[in-house]
Amino acid sequence: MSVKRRDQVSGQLTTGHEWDGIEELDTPIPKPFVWGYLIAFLVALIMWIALPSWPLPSSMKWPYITSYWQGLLGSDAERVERRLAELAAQQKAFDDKINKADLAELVNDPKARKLLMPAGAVLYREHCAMCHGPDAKGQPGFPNLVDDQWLWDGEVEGIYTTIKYGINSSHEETQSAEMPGFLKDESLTKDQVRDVVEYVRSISGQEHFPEAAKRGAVVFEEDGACSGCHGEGGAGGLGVGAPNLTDKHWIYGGDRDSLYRSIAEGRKGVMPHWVDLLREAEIRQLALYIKWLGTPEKQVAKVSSVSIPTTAK
Amino acid sequence: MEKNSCRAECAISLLPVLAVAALGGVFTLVGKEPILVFHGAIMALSGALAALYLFRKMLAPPAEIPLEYNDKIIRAAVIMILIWGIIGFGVGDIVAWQLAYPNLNFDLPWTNFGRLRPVHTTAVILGFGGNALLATSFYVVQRTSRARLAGQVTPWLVFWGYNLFVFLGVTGYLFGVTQSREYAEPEWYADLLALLVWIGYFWIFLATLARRAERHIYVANWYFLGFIIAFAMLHIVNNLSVPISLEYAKSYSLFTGVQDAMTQWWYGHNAVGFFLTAAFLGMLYYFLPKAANRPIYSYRLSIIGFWGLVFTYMWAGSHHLHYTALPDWVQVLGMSMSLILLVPSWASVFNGFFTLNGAWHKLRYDPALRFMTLAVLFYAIATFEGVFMALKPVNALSHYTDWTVGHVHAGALGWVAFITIGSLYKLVPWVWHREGTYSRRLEAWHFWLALSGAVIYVGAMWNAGITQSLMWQTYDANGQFVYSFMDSVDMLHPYYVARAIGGLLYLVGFMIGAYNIWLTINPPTPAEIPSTPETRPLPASGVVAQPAAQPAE
Repeated sequence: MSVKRRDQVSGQLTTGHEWDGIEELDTPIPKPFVWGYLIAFLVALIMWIALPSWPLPSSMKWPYITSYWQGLLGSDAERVERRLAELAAQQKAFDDKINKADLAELVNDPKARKLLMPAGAVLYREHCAMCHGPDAKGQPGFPNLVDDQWLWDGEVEGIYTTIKYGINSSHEETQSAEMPGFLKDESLTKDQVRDVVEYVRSISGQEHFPEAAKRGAVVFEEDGACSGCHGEGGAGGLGVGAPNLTDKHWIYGGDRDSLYRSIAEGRKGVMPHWVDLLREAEIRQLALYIKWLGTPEKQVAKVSSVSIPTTAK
Repeated sequence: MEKNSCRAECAISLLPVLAVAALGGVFTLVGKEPILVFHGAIMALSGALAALYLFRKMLAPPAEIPLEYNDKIIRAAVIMILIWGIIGFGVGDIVAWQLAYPNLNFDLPWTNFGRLRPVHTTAVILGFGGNALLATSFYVVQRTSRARLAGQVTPWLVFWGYNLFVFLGVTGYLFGVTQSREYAEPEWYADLLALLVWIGYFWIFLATLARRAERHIYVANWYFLGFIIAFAMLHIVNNLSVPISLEYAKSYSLFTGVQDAMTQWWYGHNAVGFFLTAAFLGMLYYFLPKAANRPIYSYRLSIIGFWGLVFTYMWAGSHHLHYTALPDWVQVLGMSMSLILLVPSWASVFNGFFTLNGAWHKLRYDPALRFMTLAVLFYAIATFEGVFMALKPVNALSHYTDWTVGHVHAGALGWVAFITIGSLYKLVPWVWHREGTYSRRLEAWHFWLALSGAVIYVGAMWNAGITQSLMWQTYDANGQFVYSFMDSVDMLHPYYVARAIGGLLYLVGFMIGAYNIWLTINPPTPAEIPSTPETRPLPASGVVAQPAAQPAE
């Protein structure tokens, strides 16, 4: 049989077993450990009584257990629902103020600007920044929002409409525009496309071949093929989605390859409609934010009678 | 009596081996995905080689089984620990850098985060951890039973089959072959292979225990056996799925919706509970008292700790699904059981620390013992933290944040890998019959690099996770967000860089460790290698029912 031995360090007896030189002391369970177990069980018991916990038999037929102890405090999920309803009510009060206010007046109210800009920035970074960039300066295919150029109506109501229904979106009230592919639909020849490229480079102040540009100018203006949307001399600003071609801002690029592709194959950028994803008040705040982004603060009129639509101090 | 021939064992082993070869052959012939054809060819080739090996063994004349412990299998597993460890830690650090600088995936499908991340988890958990468990469980069960490992061929089939399973998993992910189940990503055919391997592992372990020459089964073996049984159950249920055909690797889970989620986290949590906790506690219960040369602090505490742990862990998985579609009552049960789980977890912590009483001074000059002691500390921290994260109100803060990542790495880097490395520094000289490791200085370097790496990693993720969650939950007086999600992502960047640096330190430490172990195995100046006799030789016959009485020291 096994032989117990007293350990010199702890003064405990060993159990007398030994495996490959490993022995075990017969130390009693430490007191804190016993108390710990009891307390843990007690807390668990309280949880079980207070909250939904153990399944209960509730029927004499298979599968017998179809119910569970509902808990004295009831379901957590219901508590979460109630809290969400409270918060939704609080949010609605704020939304109502924003929705009742006139956007055109709000946009000129420096106090509203000061109060609404931070939340607008959060909304922008949450929903818009992935395409238009964190600084709203756009990226290839997605227009810059902070310059003074607008493809569509640049007033706050116009921006609001664009955000709400989108451009070339799947919403029935969407604004639509398309740059046709002039080579694709065979209305221009390859040489003509190259000429127009040179012309566009000339009016945007880039290096170009003057002879070709001259020929391109004729095509550009002829029958309003290009100028009908891009304006006379390509100056844009018609609010129909066609950009100004005389400045340094490009959506798809001002180099020869990009221009050639734009004219030959056409472009049809899409801005999704946000009416189904965002609350009315959020769309309005975003419209204000975008408008304010491109407007220096000092231009905002000093006088305003609009009440501040926020409870924040 | 042909006691030493391999007829029965080899014949029985032949069936699963041929099955794997046949399935591989089918994939090779009908497979329509290159990766499945590749996997099929590997399976067919491995199966054919294994069958050839078995035939040769069967036809060979009965050989004398040496009266010594089977350490060759342990040496092989040690090498695999090092290989999978470097792959796993290396890929882990690559994905850490990718999170800080996403362009580092070079826009290639094979190197994107979604594919590399399971390569990391599988290589460290199943590759590094699994081989560590094979090596140490085979070592411990032989020594504490005073019996040679059961089986002539099964240990080798288990070793190669297991590593083939991990290989199939890891290579599959790179080509998009995955079940998308946490820690169980390998597809159905790899899972079947793992199941066959596991049956062999279970048999080896039981048969070795059955022929033990000690009256009692040492506590480390309870943990190993508990892990083997529980993991078999988890693996089978979680991987129940229907393959779409033999031409493609894809399969669909048998469960749907919230039942599927619950099955996955029942598995996922117990993969942590039984694979990464119970089994590594088995390692602790042997290597810590051996290294400290002290008796286990309390036999009673080890009993309570073991049964408390294996009973309670099974219930806790639902705490991964708080505030989801999972019914409230399942969430509450998971939360309450997680709370109770603290106590048996800390039973092992008590036992670990107090076993060191009378040996604390050894920490000053034994880095391996320091690894093991810090492992117990990290285990204490991680289990304490885990309980709180399982409470619903705390979970509302911690869930879906990097805090979870920090928590799991406190356990993985601090507990699992530390106890493995500490044990490895003892195991390697023992199974290769060396005086000690090549260099204690390098052991110490490894220790400090690994510790700083782990602390930087976990600290960065704690800060990142809590900041992240607070940003998500901050509203202004009108109920509008103060921070966008993107703001919280920007905030993470410096923490992600810090985490990747921590991971790099850990990786460098491990490579130093691997170098040290390599030189221990192959000393640069081959000294006269002493053939140290076993301190406790095997009993003369294979089975001894009555152990000799041990004299009191």
